[in-house]
Amino acid sequence: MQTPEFWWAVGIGSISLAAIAVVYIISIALNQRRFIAGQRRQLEIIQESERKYRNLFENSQVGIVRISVDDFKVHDCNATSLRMFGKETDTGIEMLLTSSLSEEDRRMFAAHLRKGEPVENFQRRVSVDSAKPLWVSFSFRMFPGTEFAEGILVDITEGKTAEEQLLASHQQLRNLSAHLQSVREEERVRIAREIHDELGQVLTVAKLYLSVLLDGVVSGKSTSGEAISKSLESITNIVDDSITLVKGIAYQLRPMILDELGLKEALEWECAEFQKRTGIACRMRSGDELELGREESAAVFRILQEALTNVARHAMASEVDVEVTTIGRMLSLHVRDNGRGIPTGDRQKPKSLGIVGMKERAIFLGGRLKVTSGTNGGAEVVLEVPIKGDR
Amino acid sequence: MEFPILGYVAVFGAIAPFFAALFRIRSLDTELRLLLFMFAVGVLNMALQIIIPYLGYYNLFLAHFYLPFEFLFFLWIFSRWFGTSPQFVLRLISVLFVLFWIVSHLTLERFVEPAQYTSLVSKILALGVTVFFLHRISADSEESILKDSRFWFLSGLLVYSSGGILFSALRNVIDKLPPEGIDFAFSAHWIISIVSNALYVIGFLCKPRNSGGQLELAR
Repeated sequence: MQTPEFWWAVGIGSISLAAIAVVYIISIALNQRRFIAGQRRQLEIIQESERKYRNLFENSQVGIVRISVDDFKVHDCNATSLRMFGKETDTGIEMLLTSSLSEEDRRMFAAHLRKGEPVENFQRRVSVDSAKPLWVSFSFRMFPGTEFAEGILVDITEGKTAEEQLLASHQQLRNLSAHLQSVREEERVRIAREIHDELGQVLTVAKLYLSVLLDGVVSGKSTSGEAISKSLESITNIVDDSITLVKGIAYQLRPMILDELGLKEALEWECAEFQKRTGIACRMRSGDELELGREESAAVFRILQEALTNVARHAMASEVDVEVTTIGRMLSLHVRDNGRGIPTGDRQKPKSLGIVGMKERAIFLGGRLKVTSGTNGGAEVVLEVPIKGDR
Repeated sequence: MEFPILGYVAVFGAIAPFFAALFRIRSLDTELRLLLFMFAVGVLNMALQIIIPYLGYYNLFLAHFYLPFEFLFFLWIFSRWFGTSPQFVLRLISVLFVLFWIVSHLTLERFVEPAQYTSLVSKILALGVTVFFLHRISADSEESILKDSRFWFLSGLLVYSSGGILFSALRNVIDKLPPEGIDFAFSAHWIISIVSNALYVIGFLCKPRNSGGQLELAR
């Protein structure tokens, strides 16, 4: 090889080797770029997933917590958990469950979780605010391979309150049913007593008169016309009394006036009877016509009767105002007295069966009944009933 | 023979990393500051190589000492960069190279002639070490290696070593040949040197390591 060619070969050889190195460097850089791009994509997917589940975690309507099983310290929790326990920030969340669950419960939960068993729907009353008791359903499940458990906390206070109210309502209905049975029995006893004591007595006297007359006729003894006339007059009086008595009993079973003259007159008559019976002044105001069906009329009449009975028994009132109005297709009955009023607690007592009975009647008619304190003392019963088509 | 422009550019290129490092000295970490020291020694070596002939002395002995200094310095910096696992191998290479350098200068090489065997061996070893570490940082880095100063220094050394192997291997032949046509070979050598030094410059101008992507990933 000639010298110049040798130098060319050395130069080109060196450049070629350096070029190979450069190509290697570029390939390394490109490969790494691809690798990084792949990693970034994976990272984005993970971040997106993290965002999605973080969003789900934060916006969940149930409380979600992550706790250590050893001491039940909370390591992470969502906003719903904080709200549930009356906290605005996550400072001091570690003791969230330690302070609200009893040690016995925590020990039992931990024992379940350590055995790999999930804790499902354990309902506990927790003391966050003594004025507002909180019922929480606890569910816990272990994170596999860790000492942490994930907990779902659901505020079931509303459901529990509704359940308690439902139980109270059932109890009230049972009491009402028993009360109605007792009232019916009392009514029967009273009617039986009236029939036995009054009607029976009157009829016995009538029978005596008739026996005396019959004895005279049978024995052939002459009885003066005056004596016969007196006996018959007495018998007529006794029969009249009997009719009045029977009418009274029949009225108590169902006031005929309601069917014969209508609701307005029946209510007026009841007010007048009430005033006569109790001496409590009873005024009634109403519109010209109160046209309701038979069932509705009877129910409104009974509600007024019950309201007036309550006034007579408990109110210690001297005056009662009864007002009946119709606005559109709605009938309103207001019974106001000037007595001592009804304390709020008494109105909601399960044993206030008179009020419960009135309310049940109102509900049966598709209306509602409120018992409130009057603005100037006393009490006010307000009944609102829709006027239906059938009369 | 008139000194070509490419030669001047190559000389400027050789001192460029030193000035780039000075420019960024405040943001340099410990290893880059150590490299700055090495390049400062390189600049001094070059200056002495230019000055000494004017004083009537041979300058070739300087290259015999600068060559192991530069090679061993790079290995030391690599061992600092890449932690404990390759440190043993790098130390072994360093010790064996020092022994070889001593033996070589006692038997084969003379200080009044250009270094041949130690130069060739150092370039081959540098080639292997840089290829290994380039592969390693490409696998380990969680952000682009283009932002990693280690990548640029390894690349610069790889280009310099691969482009210089032929010169080192043929040193005996080169010295015995007449210089007709040598311009092209020197131009190739200068181009390789310029490229290599340009890569070192980028290495110094890179932002410091571990200040971006890895933290981002950790978050």
